[in-house]
Amino acid sequence: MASEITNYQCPACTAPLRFDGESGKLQCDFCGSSYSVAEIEALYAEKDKAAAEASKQAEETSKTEAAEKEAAGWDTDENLRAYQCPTCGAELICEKTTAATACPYCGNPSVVPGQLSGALKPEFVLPFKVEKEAVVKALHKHYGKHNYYLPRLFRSENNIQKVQGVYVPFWLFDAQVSGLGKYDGQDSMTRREGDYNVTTTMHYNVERGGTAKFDKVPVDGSKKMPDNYMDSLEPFDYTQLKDFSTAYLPGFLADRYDVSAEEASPRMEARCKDTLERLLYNDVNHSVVVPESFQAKVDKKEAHYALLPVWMLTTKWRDKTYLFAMNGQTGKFVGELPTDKALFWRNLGILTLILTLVLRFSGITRFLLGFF
Amino acid sequence: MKRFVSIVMTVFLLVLLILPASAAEAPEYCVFDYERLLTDEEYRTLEDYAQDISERQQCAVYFLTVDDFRNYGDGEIFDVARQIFLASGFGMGENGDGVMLMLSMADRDHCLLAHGFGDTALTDYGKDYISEEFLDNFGDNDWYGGCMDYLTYTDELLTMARDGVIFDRDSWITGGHLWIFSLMFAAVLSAVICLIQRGLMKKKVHQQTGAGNYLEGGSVQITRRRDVFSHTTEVRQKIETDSNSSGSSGGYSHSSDGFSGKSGKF
Repeated sequence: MASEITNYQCPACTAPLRFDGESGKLQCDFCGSSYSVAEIEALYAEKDKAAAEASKQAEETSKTEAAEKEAAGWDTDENLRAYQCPTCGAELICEKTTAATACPYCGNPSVVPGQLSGALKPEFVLPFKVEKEAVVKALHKHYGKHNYYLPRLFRSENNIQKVQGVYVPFWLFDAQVSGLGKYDGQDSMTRREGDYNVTTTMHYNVERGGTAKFDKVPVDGSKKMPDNYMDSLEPFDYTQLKDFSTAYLPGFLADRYDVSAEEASPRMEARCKDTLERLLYNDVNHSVVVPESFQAKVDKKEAHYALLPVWMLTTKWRDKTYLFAMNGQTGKFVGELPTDKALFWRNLGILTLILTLVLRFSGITRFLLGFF
Repeated sequence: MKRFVSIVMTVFLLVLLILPASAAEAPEYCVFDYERLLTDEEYRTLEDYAQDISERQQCAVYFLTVDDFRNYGDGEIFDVARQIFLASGFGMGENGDGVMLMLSMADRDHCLLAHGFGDTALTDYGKDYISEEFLDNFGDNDWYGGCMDYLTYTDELLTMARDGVIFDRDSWITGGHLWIFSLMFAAVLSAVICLIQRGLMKKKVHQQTGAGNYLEGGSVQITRRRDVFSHTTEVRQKIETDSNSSGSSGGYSHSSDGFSGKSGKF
């Protein structure tokens, strides 16, 4: 019986291959050979097909077994799947959505083609461009950029727990949105009449309607990934999107989506409507514009399924885990840093002291008091 | 004009009576109520009080009521008050230190005049401070109350000046106050700076609200533009002036011969 997993191995030395972002090729770190995506695709097409078929059969078997076990009162976890590493034979326990991983025993990058075939096959993939070494450098740069109250020990003691490249499933929506906004437009002029200033305001009932088209608005399709982190990594450069191939995955983790396009759609719709609302508001040409109502609807939408590259990095400090993410294509780095409260209050105190002296002796205080 | 000459002569003669005694002694008369606004008892009380202040402060304090200031000189009420002050030989000591409040009943004008040490002690801000106290009384025709307020607060400001503190807009701000306010301003400013810095550490991660980056070029079409005039609203706002029902704070005047004054309506 065929394995559900494909290990991409160097045709020359059988060592594991990994996708290299910089060269855009699959690289063998042992013998130094490199292969284009097309070459590996041609080599592994049959294997991938067989693995996908095996995966389908295994899923059906697994469902039947699970039903039997459940009927017998066994405790089953539907979120986990077991695979066998075709290289070393070890059993890999993965999440149900895992599409690419690495065997913890032999280290071979393992792809589960069944997770990314048929209806689950992504339309596009955006290959990694940024290498792993750049992620740690970016983290240290991030420390330096916003280090006002970063605890010193966080920097020195901080242990990077894990740096992992992940192809995150995204829905890229094409959409056309139309809307109508109603506003109270006001134009005022002031004249003097005797001892009075008279302000006359002309009010207008303003309506603005319009349509706008959006191209590939991204919404992540993974429950595991925090939405705010994924949104913060935007934008991605879609000109480098490639037709999907599993040959881009070796060396990285990949999950299939567990948030459907319909479930992800409301987030996209809200964003598009918000943009159209701003566009219509900006089109109103009165000195004061008071929004009264806005209604919008999505006329057309189409969802494309794509895998986008994200580096995820976690660090641990004082028993708390800090999560950072980096756009695997552009290198944009995001993540919240801890605040040293003692350092905050110390800086506040020192600054207050310095400013007190400056204000007192520069005469600014006396000047400011003149306004009271 | 005849009446002006008679008043000036009367005042001058009265002043002459006291001059020989001592230059540092209070004038014999400080309250000149030609319009008979005060009762005799009120007059005596105010006269005694004004004498007492003048002697203690070594700065003469006068109160004068006339029918119409235009009968006693040329110019505005400040000029006329100044002319009366000079012609009557008002003031004490070599510098003619003195303060005079004149009420002109015809158009309810007033002028608070200061010279010498009086000018030093009563800054424009100080004259405002005193005026605020007496104008409401005069506005209610409470002549005794108004004059009493005038004397009381003039005495207060003269006392402060004798103690080396000139009452002015920022005279209440002493060294201690400056430190406290500097600390308060600095604390607020520092807190704002530090909170902005702390906010910068957190703002990087956020959920997107718009999709402007994904707009297709040239795809935005405005399909409806309608601006229909609905109605007009009008707001009338009175231009704030210094005048009010109880009196006007009026304008300030200064002359090259050391007089300063504040005049207005009451």
